[in-house]
Amino acid sequence: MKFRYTPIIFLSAALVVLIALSLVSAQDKFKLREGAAGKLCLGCHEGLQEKMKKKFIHTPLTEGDCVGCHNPHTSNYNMLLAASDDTICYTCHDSVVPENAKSVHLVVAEGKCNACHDPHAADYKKNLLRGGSELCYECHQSLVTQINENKYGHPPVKEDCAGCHDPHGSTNNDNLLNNGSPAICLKCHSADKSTFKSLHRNYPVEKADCTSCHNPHGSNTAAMLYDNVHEPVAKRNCERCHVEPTSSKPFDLKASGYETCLACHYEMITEVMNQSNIHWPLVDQKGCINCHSPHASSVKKLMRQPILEVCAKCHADTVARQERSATKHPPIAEGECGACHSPHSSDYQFILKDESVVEICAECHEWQTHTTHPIGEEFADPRNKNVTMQCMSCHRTHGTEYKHFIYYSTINELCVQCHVSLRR
Amino acid sequence: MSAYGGNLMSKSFMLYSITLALLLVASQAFGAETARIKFLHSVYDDGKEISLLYPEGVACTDSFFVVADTGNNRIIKYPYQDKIVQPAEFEMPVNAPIVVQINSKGEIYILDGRDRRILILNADGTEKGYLSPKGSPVARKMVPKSFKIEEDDRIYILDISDGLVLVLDAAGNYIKHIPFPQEFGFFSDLAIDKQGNIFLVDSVEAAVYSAAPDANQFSQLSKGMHEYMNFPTNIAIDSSGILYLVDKHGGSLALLSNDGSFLRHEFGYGWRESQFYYPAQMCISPAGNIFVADRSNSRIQMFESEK
Repeated sequence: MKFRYTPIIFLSAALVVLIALSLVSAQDKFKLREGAAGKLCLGCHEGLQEKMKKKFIHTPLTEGDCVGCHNPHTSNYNMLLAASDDTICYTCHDSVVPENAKSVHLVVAEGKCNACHDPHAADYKKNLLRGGSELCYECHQSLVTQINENKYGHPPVKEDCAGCHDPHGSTNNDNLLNNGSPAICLKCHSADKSTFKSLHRNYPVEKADCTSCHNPHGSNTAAMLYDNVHEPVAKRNCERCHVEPTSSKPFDLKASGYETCLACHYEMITEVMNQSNIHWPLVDQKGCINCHSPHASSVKKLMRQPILEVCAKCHADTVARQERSATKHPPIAEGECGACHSPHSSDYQFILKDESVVEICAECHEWQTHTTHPIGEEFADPRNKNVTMQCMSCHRTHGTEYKHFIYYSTINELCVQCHVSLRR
Repeated sequence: MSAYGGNLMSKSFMLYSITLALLLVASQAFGAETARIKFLHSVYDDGKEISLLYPEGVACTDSFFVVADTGNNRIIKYPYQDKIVQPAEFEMPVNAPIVVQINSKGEIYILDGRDRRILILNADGTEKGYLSPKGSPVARKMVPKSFKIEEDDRIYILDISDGLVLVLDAAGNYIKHIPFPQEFGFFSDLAIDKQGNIFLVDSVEAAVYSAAPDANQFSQLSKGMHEYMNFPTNIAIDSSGILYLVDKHGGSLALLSNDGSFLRHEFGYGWRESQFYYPAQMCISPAGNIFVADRSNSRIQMFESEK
């Protein structure tokens, strides 16, 4: 009994000494009057007194150590902070992001800790501005809309995003997940039940990536499948593409690359293969699944992501050009790459939908049918006798740093490239 | 000799050594800088008034070059002497020629973009047949994205369907294969240097991978070079080992040293001579003549490398 409280007494004493030391060091630094630390600031900053009544107070504040973050005299930073607002938290919290993290929350990477935490005090643990998923919903609005509209919801999503995601960063997983799929799903879902097995046609899906078919945030399709389901999946006809579930490698495909898709999409693929310019990824090892999700997707046509994002995975330079461009080309901005390009193959350059660039542009730019600079096959480009004048003679359709995506900073400079006699 | 004299000697020796070393380094850097490329002329037609249309392929020797005139579905052979191009020797209809190569016998190998097979023409332009790999344990479907033929007539095929580089002898017999690395963007072209090192250009990652002649895997030579180029799709190597990457979307050539470090750009995007508009294959002849299939400018541009 005598020794029962000894560790608690010892720890409390250590804590008191630590607090005293930190106060002494702060007082030393700014030569504060005895007992002035904290109290001195609160004397003027009355608003903070109200904050101090909140349930969770940032440790330095409980210790009256305002000078841990602020310089009471002068500073180069806002709010008299002792360092820039995107680095000051890391002075103490330098290990919130795992080293070599596979994914990092953007606001954390940008040092915007205040987006989620109140640096002084809050009603929620860890000084969070709001509790549970509500905090995340403030930024992830489109996800909220989707979650609220979902016919088939995933209960943990509405409770707390932190159940699956690490809000700062994840060492081994994408999307800030605290564990990869299927491990993260198997924490709640048992794969031993006979219904689980029969619903999955006895394929050992407990070893596969659940998010290949199921939308972890919920969906409008039964079993939380993504809203666009590949027909063989919807019909649970896995053997259409995969070998038998009893095979030693049950997820192996019966054919490789695009040939897997050939059995059902024969006509389309045959037509695609007979064009002069194929989109080469279609015939590589992965084939169709470079761009399409083979099981289900939240994007139409079973695209892995919205089209612009799919295209940007390889053509980042082209998409970036549009982003830098002073004028945006609407089809690209809207992710309608297919407005001009035929994504599988074409008989024309740049896998365009039509041989004539002028005709493609005319689909949207009706004006050129009545008033235009001479363009078309009958007008040679003065810079190159083998090239005729067309829209791309003056405009770079994916953007330039100049207005109307012309190649030069002024229209005059553009014109004199051909009209050399008018050069000043 | 006095101690002072000895010290003086050793100091002088050190000074000479340092100066020599600096000169050596400077001369190497200068050497890389001075390998300038000079524009000679462009080929716009076949000499019979039929203009080239979107040519994607060009292969060369020191006496002739062959053009894949893609838009006109034909192959054209041009002799040249003293850097002057003669009228076309012959033309052969081919479906959708996109890459061409020439072997030591003057036979022309053509990758057909529609069939995705390699057609062989005899030196006189008559058809010899299709390349069919024999005895390959790996190339199940073989979709060549590109290929190269080396001095010993070995054929190196960039087989994107099976994910490997397939090496065949002149008769098409399997010699070996090297699988693609685990992680990469998209391989568009390959090149082989005099020592037999194989180089792959990754268009998506703007990177170069290499494999030594006896290696069984590729390793990254140059990491993402997006800072220097947009979308490199073709690669060639000159006799000194300098790598030339054709930056299709940037309309330029990017030169790398044989250790993969970026040296400089040549030319730029445009329609005038010595500018490129979505260029495709390039070729460097043993004597240093450079040919570029300037695809969207519908011409072949000829340069010489000035040492």
